[in-house]
Amino acid sequence: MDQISCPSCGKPNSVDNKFCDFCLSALHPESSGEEVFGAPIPPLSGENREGLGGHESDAEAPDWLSELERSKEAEPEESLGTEADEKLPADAVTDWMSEVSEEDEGKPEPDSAAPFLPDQEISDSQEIPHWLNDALIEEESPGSIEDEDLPEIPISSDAPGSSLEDLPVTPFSDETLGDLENAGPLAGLKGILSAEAGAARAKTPKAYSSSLRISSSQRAHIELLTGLVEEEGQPLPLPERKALSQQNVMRWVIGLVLFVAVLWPLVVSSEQMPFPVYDEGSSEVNRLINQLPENARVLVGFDFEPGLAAELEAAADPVINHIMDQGALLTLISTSPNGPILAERFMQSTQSGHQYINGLDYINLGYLPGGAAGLVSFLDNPQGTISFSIDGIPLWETEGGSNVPVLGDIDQVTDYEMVLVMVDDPETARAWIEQLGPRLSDPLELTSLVLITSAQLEPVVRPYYDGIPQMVNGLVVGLRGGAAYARLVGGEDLLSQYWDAFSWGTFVAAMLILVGGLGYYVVPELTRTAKGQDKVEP
Amino acid sequence: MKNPVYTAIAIGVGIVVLLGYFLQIDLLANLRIVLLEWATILVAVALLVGIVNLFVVHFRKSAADQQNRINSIVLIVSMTITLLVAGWFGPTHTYSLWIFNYIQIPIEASLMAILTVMLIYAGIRLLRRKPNLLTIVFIATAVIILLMSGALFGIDIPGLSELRIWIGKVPAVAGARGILLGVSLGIVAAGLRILIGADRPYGGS
Repeated sequence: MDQISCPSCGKPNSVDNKFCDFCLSALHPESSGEEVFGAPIPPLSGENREGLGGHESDAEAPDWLSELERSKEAEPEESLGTEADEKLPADAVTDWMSEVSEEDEGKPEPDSAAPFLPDQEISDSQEIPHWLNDALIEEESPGSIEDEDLPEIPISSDAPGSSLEDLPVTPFSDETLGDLENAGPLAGLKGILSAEAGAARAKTPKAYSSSLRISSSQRAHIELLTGLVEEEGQPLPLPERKALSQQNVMRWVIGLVLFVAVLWPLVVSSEQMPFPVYDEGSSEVNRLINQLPENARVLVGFDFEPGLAAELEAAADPVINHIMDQGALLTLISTSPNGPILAERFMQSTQSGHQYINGLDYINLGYLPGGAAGLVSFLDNPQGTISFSIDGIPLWETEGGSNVPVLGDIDQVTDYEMVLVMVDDPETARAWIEQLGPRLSDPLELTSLVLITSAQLEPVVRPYYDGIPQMVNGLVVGLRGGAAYARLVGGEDLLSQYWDAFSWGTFVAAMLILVGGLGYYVVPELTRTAKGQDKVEP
Repeated sequence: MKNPVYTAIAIGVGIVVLLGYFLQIDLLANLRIVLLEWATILVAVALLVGIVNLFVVHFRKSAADQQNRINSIVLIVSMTITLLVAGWFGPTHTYSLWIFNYIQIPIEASLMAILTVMLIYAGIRLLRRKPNLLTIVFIATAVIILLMSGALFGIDIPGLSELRIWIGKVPAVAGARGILLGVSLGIVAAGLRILIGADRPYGGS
């Protein structure tokens, strides 16, 4: 059988084959490259199957392809290197090349046209360079396919492998794919220039610099803008405070004037300020206290802060004094943590003349926690809410009542004849009124609710006093209310001191606001007007 | 919903206490009283916890090398002395009353006195800027109330005393009633929101 060497791998193949049995390259370049590279191949007809491995298609090949095939077949016959050696100049031949050429002169030249067969024995007389020897050893490795091992299989139209679909599929190497043209009229040829456009080839994009080219004036503007923005973010240094600024002087003057105004009546004791003649709320309180029976029980709530103790103690002094004169028994309680000690202070300082004994004539129940909830609990169930007095005296050891004479058989808040609350906070006042008021709404209940409040609380409390039904039965508001009550019942010792100082203080405060405010507004206006006239006159 | 148990407890307790006001059933009334007693005890415990927390926080501040540690040291020393005196002798003892009468009351009264000076100064400066109608009404009301709250040397200016009473009974009370109505409506709304579980200030979001 005639053999032909594969132009791609050099392995011998039958001359009837169109494709190499080893690398599937086209043995005859004129055979269509589309068949090789997976282009749509029509199913093989009977004629085509006969043509597989034959040369029937040569007749249909174009002329230029035939010429290309003939030139390629003739090319291996040319000696490699002879032509190049002839063209080399004499001085370009190096020593080792000369030696090699001298050695090769005595040896027969190998047939360059004959394909190289790996199984061809190399005579011992032929010296093989070591790099070529290595390459031969690699080719003789067990994985290599030798010609002798390949059985000759008759190709028939029915035999497996006779069609392209049955051929073993071996992936092409990258080198092979790179060398072969796979499109156009030169498809299937090797060693030609690629027809692809250069722009379509993938390559690493060029790196561009991100720096901005700016001019010197632009740089100056940038620096100016950056400086402005940075200055905005930096805190400005505070101006140094003057020791004697206008504001400080004004505050000191106001404080001193007020201090002198309040201190003057206490030093002089002239009692220039008469007590108010009549106050409706105070008169109602006076009437209620006068109606108290002998040994009446009165619940007194101390719900104010120490800062307002002066005002509330002075306002409550004549009222409590009157109640104690009636011989009432007092129960003191507070929903404020400061209240119990304020109550104790009040009893020991202002009412010490009555010789009331703790536990016998009055009892201090201490602090009632829980705000409104605690107050509700106490109003409904005093025995379950508070068990000990502030001094640790157990309150409810006796069955059905208290072992403390002041409490007696108190079971709920309506057992008291009067509830009197001293308060300075709107929320606390509302809690007392709104929790206690509904319990006193029954006409059969004789318990009355009286409030002694700070002057600032009057607008909040007065609606409960003026409203119908009346939820607050008596109201003493501030020093003015206390002074009015003191005028009714006597006992003006404490209030007379406070009343003069208070009247002087409020008068001076009103004058300071009036005169100072007008001075601040009128004087600058007059000055501005005078300056404006001076400018116009010339 | 973080923890439905909290919500269920809050709504249940609220409904029981609320029904105890409207329904004359002994069981509900007794249950309401018990729940209110528990609330009172819990608030007292919370106050104690707050005091302990205050002490711990300022103890740490005083131990740390901070700029204002002297304030924390003063607070801790004052609290310790007061607790020892009131705890050992009792809150109504002379020593306890001395602390209260000569330290706490003067300090709080001094703060009120400073507030008086600052309010007068603010009233004076109020006219320095361009005065409008409201500014003038505000200043005039303050001056009238101040003048007529005292005795004014026994001088009876015709109409001024009546004007002071009118201001105290009509405009001031009208404003206060508006505030009270708003507060009441707010409390009702807040109570309803808690009862239906829309507001959970007790931990469940």
